[in-house]
Amino acid sequence: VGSERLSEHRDERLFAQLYVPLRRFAAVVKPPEVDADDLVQEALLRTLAIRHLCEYENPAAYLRRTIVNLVSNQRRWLGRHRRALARLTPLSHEDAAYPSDLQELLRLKPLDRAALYLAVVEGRSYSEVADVLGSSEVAVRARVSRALRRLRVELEEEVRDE
Amino acid sequence: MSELKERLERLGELGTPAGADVIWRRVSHRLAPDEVGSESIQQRRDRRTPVVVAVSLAVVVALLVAGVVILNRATSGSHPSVVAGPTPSSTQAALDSEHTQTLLASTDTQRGIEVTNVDAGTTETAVPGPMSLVPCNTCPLVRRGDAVFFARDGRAYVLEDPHGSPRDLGPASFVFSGSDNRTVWTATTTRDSGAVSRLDEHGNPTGGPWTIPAGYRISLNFLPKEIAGRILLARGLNPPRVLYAWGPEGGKRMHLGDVLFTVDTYRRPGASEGALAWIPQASCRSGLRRCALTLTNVSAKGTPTNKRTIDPPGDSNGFIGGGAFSPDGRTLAAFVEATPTQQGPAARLVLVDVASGAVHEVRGGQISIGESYGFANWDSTGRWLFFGGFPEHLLVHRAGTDDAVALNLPASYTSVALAAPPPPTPATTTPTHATAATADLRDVQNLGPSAARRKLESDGLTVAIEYRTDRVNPGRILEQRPAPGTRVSRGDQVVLVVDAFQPCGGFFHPTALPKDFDAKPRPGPAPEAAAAGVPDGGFELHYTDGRGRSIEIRRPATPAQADAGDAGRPADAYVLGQAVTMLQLESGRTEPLIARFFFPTDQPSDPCGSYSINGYGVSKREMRLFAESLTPNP
Repeated sequence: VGSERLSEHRDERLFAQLYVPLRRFAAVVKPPEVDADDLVQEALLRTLAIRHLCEYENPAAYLRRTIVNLVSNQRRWLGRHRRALARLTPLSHEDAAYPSDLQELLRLKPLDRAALYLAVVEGRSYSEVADVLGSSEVAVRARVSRALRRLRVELEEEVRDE
Repeated sequence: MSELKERLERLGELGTPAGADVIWRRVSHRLAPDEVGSESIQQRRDRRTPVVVAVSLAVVVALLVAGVVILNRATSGSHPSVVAGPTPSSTQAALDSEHTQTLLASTDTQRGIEVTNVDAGTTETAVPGPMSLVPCNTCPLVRRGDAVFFARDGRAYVLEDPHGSPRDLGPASFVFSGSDNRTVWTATTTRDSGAVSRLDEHGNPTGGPWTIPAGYRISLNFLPKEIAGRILLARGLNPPRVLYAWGPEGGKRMHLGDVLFTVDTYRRPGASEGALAWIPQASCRSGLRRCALTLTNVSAKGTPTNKRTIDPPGDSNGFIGGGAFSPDGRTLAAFVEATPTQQGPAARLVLVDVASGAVHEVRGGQISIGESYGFANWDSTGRWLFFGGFPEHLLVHRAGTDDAVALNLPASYTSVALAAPPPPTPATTTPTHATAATADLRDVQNLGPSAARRKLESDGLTVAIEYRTDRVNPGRILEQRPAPGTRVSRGDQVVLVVDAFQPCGGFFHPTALPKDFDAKPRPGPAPEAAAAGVPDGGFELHYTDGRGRSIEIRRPATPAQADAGDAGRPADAYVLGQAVTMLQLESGRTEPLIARFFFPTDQPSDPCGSYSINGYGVSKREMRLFAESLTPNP
């Protein structure tokens, strides 16, 4: 019992250290309908359900990977939901468009945003990004390159509009 | 690349973090062993084998769906709210036993600015009329401390003492309040152009003038508002008007959408983000009827977030314009359109709990209106709410009660509540029940709010309820103030904090329904015709209870579709995996479908159930209407 409590205490302290960057990552990759903290919470729940946080070799990477998986699964579910909604409710409430300078980023796929965030903001190598996203390094390079190209196109359009 | 990095960083900062400790507490609670002989998390970890993992995967998929629903519900309420106030049993009782200590100031083109002492019932003229209030003769006065800001005859003034002279602040067509309840804005407008300036709470200029972009204007149809440093502007003279939030300093415009009305704005002092309560045109059903209220968080930079739609009460015709956030921003006083009376159009006051979105009706809160607009103004303590409509008719509601009473006092859309000097202290009379009996406060934590209230009130204490979404012990008392064991006297107030989190399903779009679906139940068509009217050849009704268990009922294809080669899907209903009887829509049926699919579980009044029709989330009431519309009248 004593060792169990010690591990829980270590987990709590470890999570407190990981929380801020993890929450930022979740805020970047999340679908609009989901709260970043809820994503972090669900990822933590699933991670702890397997073993103590302090027993993972790289808990930060594992939590990020779980967040990415959660988002991927939710995306499929949300996609069906949105399509169904659009089909049956032509006259009901629709979200207004909110143009802002973050809009282009929000139009990217969550995994693209995740790759960009990890590479550009956190400065991680492509192999580290590949670990988090669960894909190969080559695929990550292609993903980042595609995302940047798409952003450039949209930013150019924005400049033209102004 | 640096710009991209800056944007990504900003995206990562969106929203208000709950904090590591809060997340940890929630997760620990969910991982704790269940009460009924469940195993601990460690035992669960220990027995994980590949086989179990494989089986668990299927469960995880199901949990994920439930998790998404819970997560989504959680996004709509994550900060504390107060919906029930303390002591008095009714507003009239409060008026009899307390003093509102309020001066109500209002303007009139003929009478000038009048100040009414609500307790004494006396009215004095502070600034004599006549005065021109063009172009906004319904713009509310602005209260800052004991001072009142107003505009007349093309100039802005501040009246710091009702018995003093107003101080001239310079040219202005009208003044309006900042959402932080500190800043004051003045606007100078002509037919084609305009400019705004910012003042501090003493009337000193702090910014501007800034020219309003060409083609945009401050719409006086829904009164000038500011939110998080941005001014609400409209584009287009005729409906639908498009609402924008314009930042005068940066010049950027944030598109919000087609708007029918704005209600109010609120920002906590020092916060970078504020809440806008408004009624988008897209929220209305059946033309411009049954419009919903929308709460949108707007910040000085970035995208509006946390947009939430609040449906009007079922027996109203939807939200209309006007209303006010309480001084703490937790409660929004708003108006819903009521059935017209012989005197003309009418509206009712409702109180919206900002955190949970719950709408509370206020008894006796019906007002007459001219246009679809009411006025509401809280006093600075948030205890008293003064409201009314047109013809001018002032009512008052005491926070914590559930009713309102009419006051025979003048007021108008321009009214603002100021603090009045305290009334002379009457001779002290000791109520018979307050004989200074003291006792140790009992512990009501972990009880439900009703039981806790009953126990404390039986001890002669008064109870105020606050709500917090901690997800620790949903529906139970999380905390009581003062703490259990504290020495209290009869009549003392105890604050109970209830965990308002609902650990149950919810859907993203509770208003999604087939066209014309909010019509009242009416004598139904023949069952075959009713079924044929359902889109996509039948329907699927889905009910998920508060524990994530679900019931699915599939309606077979209609006879016409069966004739066309679609043999129809089996009419199955499953409760926890077991088949139950499915009610067929056969001819001559008089039994309502509702009885079969609503409460087949052991939780007949489960408040957390969620419903969907063909995959769309609907409210319980909407589901009932749907069922009834398919039911032939007996």
